[in-house]
Amino acid sequence: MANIDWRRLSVLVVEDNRYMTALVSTIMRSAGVRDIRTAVNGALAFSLLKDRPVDVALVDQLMDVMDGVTFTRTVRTDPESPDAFLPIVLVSGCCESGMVRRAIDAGINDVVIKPVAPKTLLTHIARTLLVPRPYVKTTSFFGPNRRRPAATPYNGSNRRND
Amino acid sequence: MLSSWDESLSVGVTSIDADHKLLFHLLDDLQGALRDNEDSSVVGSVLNGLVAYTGYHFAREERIMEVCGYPELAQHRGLHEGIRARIATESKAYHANPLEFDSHALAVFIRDWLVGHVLGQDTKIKPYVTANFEAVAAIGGMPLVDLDDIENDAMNEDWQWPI
Repeated sequence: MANIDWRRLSVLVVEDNRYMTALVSTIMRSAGVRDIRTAVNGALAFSLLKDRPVDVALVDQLMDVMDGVTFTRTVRTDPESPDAFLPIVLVSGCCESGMVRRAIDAGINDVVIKPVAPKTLLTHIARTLLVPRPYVKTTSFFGPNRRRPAATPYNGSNRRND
Repeated sequence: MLSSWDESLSVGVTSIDADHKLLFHLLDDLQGALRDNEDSSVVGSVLNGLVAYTGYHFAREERIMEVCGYPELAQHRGLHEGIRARIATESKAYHANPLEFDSHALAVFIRDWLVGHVLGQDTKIKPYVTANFEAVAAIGGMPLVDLDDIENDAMNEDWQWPI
């Protein structure tokens, strides 16, 4: 029995490539998601969010007007942001470590590198929703804890109890 | 030769017809992305979608054939296995060297296969599934992707940032 109610999930796809938008929407529909909204850049996505929040955003990196990293930082820190805790997954064609580091520092929840595969994308979304990291606020950062938790709990011996 | 889904390709089961339409859409997008010279991150993604949904669809189609006692199931499974292996091999070759791979030839092959297989083989199940509510119900609740499996991986796989 699935833990996520995929049929009730609302997803915002922020992508300027029509083939990718169609594919990601298809992947969402195949999981049962019915509420799929799309935007071709971060600025349009941010105004859509202000109209009606969503449960998760899937965001491309390279877009005109506002890219994925800037969108993420805006959602996390802009005073007008309707949901600073919005789960955001970056779906990027670029796996250059500097870009990934910038995305992490902007407060991204997860990064999926293109070319995507349906199962990989859905697994990352599920992980973002089912294994959330605590949000952290410092003077220069707000977003999910940038350290990756181990998915499997530690099950070795506990020395302090020996 | 047909180039897209039409009523002549209907097998009489809404969800199977929907799967076939989805595969045609993905194929249209693959050919569109190649025509528009999209880079390999886009073409590769669409190709991955086509490979994955072909596999998911085969599982669903074989399930309904099982439930309705389709006599040519074993042979049909063999055809599915052949095409699954071919597409997986081609996809692997594409990802290994996207610039050298003849993606147009692969798209033409998949379209010819899809039309030929649906028209020549899949429509043969029509008499077995028509008014067979048990068979239709068997795949009615079967999602195209296995969400339990996906959530299980999400909870248990240990992964890191891609850097």
